[in-house]
Amino acid sequence: MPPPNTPEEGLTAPATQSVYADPFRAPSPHPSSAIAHASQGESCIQELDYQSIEYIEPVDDTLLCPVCKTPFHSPITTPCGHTFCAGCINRALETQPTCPIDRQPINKTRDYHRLPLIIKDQLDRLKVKCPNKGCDHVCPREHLEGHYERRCDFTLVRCPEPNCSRLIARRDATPAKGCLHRNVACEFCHKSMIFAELDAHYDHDCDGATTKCPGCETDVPRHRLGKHQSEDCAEGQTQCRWQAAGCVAVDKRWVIEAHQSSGCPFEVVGRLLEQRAEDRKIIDDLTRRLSSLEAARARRRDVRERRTTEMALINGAALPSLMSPASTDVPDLTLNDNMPIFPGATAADNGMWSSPENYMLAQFERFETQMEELRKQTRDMEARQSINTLQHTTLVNEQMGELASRVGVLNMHTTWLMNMQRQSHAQQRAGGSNAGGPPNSSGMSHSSDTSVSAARPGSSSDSGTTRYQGGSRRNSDGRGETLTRL
Amino acid sequence: MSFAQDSQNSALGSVQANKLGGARKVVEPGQNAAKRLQTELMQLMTSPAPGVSAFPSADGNLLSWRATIEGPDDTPYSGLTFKLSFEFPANYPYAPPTVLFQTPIYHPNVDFSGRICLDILKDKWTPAYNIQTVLLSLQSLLGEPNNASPLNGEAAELWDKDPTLFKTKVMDRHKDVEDE
Repeated sequence: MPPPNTPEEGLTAPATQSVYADPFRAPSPHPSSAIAHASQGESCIQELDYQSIEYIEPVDDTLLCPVCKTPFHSPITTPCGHTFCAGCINRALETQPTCPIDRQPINKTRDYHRLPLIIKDQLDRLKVKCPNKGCDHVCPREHLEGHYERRCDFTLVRCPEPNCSRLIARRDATPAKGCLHRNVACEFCHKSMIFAELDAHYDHDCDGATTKCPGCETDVPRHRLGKHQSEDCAEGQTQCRWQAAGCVAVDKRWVIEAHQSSGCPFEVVGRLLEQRAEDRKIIDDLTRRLSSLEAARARRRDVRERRTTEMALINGAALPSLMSPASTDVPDLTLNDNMPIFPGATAADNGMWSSPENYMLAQFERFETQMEELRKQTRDMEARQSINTLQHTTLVNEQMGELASRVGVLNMHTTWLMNMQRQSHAQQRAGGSNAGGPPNSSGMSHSSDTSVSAARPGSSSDSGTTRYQGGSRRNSDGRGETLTRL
Repeated sequence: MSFAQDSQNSALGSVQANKLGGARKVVEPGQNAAKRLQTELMQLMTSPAPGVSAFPSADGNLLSWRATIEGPDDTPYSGLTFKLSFEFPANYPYAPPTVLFQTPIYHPNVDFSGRICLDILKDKWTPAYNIQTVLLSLQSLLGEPNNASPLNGEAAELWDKDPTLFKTKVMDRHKDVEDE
């Protein structure tokens, strides 16, 4: 029976335990032994199901098998040129010996083509997530099988107990832990379950999961009670924060908190100590940086001295004048793009900076040329930009002009149409008031026509013209009516 | 110690034989069908085809779906909506789903209980078909019935002979059904 408050300790064995474990049965975290283990054909019971793998990035449609609609797994191509997962096409051919896409007959035994390797590469590179619950491993697909079958801690393997035929996550399958499938009752809700699930049960669905802390009367998860009492509970015993400064107060947490906030006499000392520790840290840091800088300086000096001696060997007596700070060889310094920022950083064949001043001058000059170049580029860019803008503006201007003219034409049409309508209305009203009775109904129907045409503002020129014709016809009709009536 | 381990190993060996009896465990067919249907559901949600829709039925069983088809324009079914039921076998997509019209429909290739005569739902089925393609095929079947092999002989006759009467019969027969 495990200690009641720490079931997870019973489950997660330290990694070192697998060293003692029987290598034949218990997988070990070392890849070499894991491979040896796999070669005995018993590490992993459930074959990796490629159809249930989760792909991290969206996969191109062309890489999906038309049968299972997931990315191809060991694909093959039919003589008619269609590609399927080997498993999918074989299964499809069991019911019908034709291609699922175009129904061409397929001879299962020899008609398959090999797939171009480039497709295989594309499939191998797809990023996938390990299908095991609890494992967050992400890798290219070609590596997944190795991870799943040999390395993943969450892969189900056989229970280490010889008489148990159930499966267990690899990390729990050590003889040291024994069979985790023995039935236990949850000590809080008395539900019966296998030991391997106890921890998840505590965390998620135990009915008696929370309890009142006897001290502070707040609800806490039962199996976390011990931790709560030692770290958070207001009634638990604790020490003053300034213990290091000399305070010896030990009391319930809420008393201590009051003691601290009302001003522990040792607080001043404690803060000083804290301050000192921080300063100490800063000083250490600075010392470290200083020493590294000094080391770098010494290295640089070494390089310079070596170079000087080399020069002395080459130039003999000419050296002293070259070494003097007032020497005028600055203009001779070639501006070299490969010039090292730190003279000591690369080989000494790049330049001969006889003094720091010369070096600085050369750098300065180099920066100036770069600056000049940048300025030139900026001017260039500006010019290009303005030309671009100009081109675009002209284009937009043209289009706007065109639009304006079209609006003008539309405007004209509308005005004309409106005038027509107004005329016909006026005439009809005149006709209606003259004759009364029957013409009224025709007036009504006309008005409803107009409302329709108004509701559909001439979407195309075609409908516009038909409307015009209709209008003019109506107009002439109306005129005819009035004439006869007159 | 070593003796104890040996005996353990031999005991293991015998159990192992039992355990390895069926070699490695292969995924059950039903599971495969569910996975494929999940993929299809995702596809239907992300890129729906106009005029057709489908969704698993409310009871949470992924092997049973409800679908709707809108009658195509320029056919007697224009403006009508038809509900269908899909029942998928455990070995889907290697076997076709059973598709029935839930909405009563007057059509040469559909009988009065909603059964459909369509080759791709029978012998011409291939695993490359999916719900969407089946629905689109059914939609086009509405406009282009196969009058050579009718389930509803009267409808097949009227389709060519008297389109007006056909349309009337379609409208008479159509009525909205509630989802159960």
